Amino acid sequence: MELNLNKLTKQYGSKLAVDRVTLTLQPGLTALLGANGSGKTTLLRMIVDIIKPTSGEIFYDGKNIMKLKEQYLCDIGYMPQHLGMYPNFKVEEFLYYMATLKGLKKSYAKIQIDKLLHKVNLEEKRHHKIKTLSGGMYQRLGIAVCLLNDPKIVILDEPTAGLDPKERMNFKNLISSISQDKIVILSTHIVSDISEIADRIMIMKDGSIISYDRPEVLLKEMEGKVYALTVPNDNVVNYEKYTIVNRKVGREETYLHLLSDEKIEGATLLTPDLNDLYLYHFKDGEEF
Amino acid sequence: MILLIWTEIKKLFKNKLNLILLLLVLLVPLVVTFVSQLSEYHSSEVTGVEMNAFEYLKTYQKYQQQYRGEVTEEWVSNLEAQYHKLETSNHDLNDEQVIEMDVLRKSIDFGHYILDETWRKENNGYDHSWGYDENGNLIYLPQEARPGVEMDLITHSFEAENHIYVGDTTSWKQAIAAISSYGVVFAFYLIYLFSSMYNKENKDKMMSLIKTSKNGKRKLGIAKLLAGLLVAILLPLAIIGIVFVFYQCIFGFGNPNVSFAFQLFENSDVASTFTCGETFGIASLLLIIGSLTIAILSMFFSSMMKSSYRSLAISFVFFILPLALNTKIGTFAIKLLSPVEYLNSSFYSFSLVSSIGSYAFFNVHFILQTSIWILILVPFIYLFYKNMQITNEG
Repeated sequence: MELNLNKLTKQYGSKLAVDRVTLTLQPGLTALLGANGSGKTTLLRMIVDIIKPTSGEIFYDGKNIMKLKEQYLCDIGYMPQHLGMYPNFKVEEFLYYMATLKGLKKSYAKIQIDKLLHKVNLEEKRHHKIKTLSGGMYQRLGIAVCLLNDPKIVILDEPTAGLDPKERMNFKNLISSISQDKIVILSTHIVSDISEIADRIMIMKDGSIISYDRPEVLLKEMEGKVYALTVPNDNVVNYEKYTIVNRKVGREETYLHLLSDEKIEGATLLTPDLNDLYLYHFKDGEEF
Repeated sequence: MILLIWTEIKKLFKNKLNLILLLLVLLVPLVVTFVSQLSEYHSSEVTGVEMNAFEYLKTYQKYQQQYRGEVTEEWVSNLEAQYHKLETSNHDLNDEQVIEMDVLRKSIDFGHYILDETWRKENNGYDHSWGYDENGNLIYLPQEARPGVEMDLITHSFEAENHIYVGDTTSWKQAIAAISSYGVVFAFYLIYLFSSMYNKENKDKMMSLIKTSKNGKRKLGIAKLLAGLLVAILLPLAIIGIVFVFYQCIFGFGNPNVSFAFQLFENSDVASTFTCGETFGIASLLLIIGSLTIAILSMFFSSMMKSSYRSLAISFVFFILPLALNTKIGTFAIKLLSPVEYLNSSFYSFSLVSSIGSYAFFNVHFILQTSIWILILVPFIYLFYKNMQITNEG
């Protein structure tokens, strides 16, 4: 199973939202990292065929998705960034509605709904109205909707936004459990969401994929660029030319965790983590 | 597809406000019409008797049933004999007898109108009142000319009819008036209801989930259309059903084959060859056709606009502005597109229902004008929905 993006481009007027993205996606969890406005959502929307690319093509197992049409959508599960569901529907009722939209037979829909409600721990909320669910439950229901048709391609656009740490951890485990035999793309700018579970990381900046590989490979590239040192407080200003990942200010001295392409004298080299990787690529003051 | 249609209908009425408004729309016009109908007969200055309106109508109905029959020379003679008997035997009439004589007078009046061709041709263009000539015979006194538009109807009036019946029209009259009174209120409700038919998902940020599902791109668009059309038929049917049951319980319906024109003579209104049943059917069908037309146009605006507020606003402008302008534009925009306007609660429209039925509703041009709008708009609704862009989801 393969999903190939070939020179995928989307232009809105003069703004190039996605710029000639070419890559191949295979089963496993691919994390799409990027700052806000980097083009992640636009790229994902093209992959799920709700916006048409200005140019370029997407091939699913060698076939152009434009030709596959509904057949392609049968294999897609999408959880949008701003997830909306009918607030007056009950949980189970809404899942049946979505199952109908996804073209599932009623008997199969029942099996899937029971299974997924158990999986996302919403069995007790089955007959509750959606508007009564908490933020975490709402997102979990979103995942259930996404997985109803047992999709081969799962696209999750910032699914953990607004969740508390515990819900975030639960969500992370849930996503990890479904990513074995599916192509899962998880878009986020929260690095902790994908640490330890991502099989590949794709970093997107200004509409382009600037990096796409296994986490250990990307982290290896970061080796020799992450430093730690402690300096007198009045000397911190000399290190502000570097990307400061973390600083801990003491009474007389400050601990600095820095990113730098050049060697920093007197500093200790640290083992890079994904947070360092992210900040290294988005060090130019972009919002995140 | 059936499940999708059913869910779309459920979605429309899941909203409590929609349900409350529906209940109001179903009940308020009926109650208001019924109360106003009773108040019409409340005063003794109007009815000539000291009875409350309800008693008056029940008594009137009783005598209409008592003197029912097919219009023949013999029937008219019998009624005339009865009328003279009442007139001569009792100089001090009680309230019931006043009503009885009123029913007899109108029945005789109608009988002569049907049977006396010479008289009809000479007096077609006029309203009449009852009176006596110098020899003391009952005659019709011509009063004022009828509007020209009604002449065609009368010219082709009753000659084609083999059997014309007179009888109890009380409930038919009240029920048709009640259906007529639903027009504008019902139209407003439909505009409101369907203005969010195609863009509700945008508001609920559901469009992404829908458009990435197998049936969300095409089938749902069609399901919405069919659900809308179904609701646009079922709601007027509900109104008709409620009205029918209500008046059946209050007065009970008489024979539907009774001439509708008979009761119209009470107000010296337009003549019609339709029976009460047929007129009730015409009023019902006009309500359904109007409902369908408004539904299609509102859904069209809804598929064009991403916000339901905008589609609601443009629907209101489209339907209401021509009315407010009260010009030829208004006449064309509303009357040709939506026959609901014919059924508004104005007093003259009620009496024109039957005439509109004959010259408008069953007119080929009218049907074409209405159906062409629907046929033209349906593909656009489908296309607009299919290509609707997701804009407010991030």
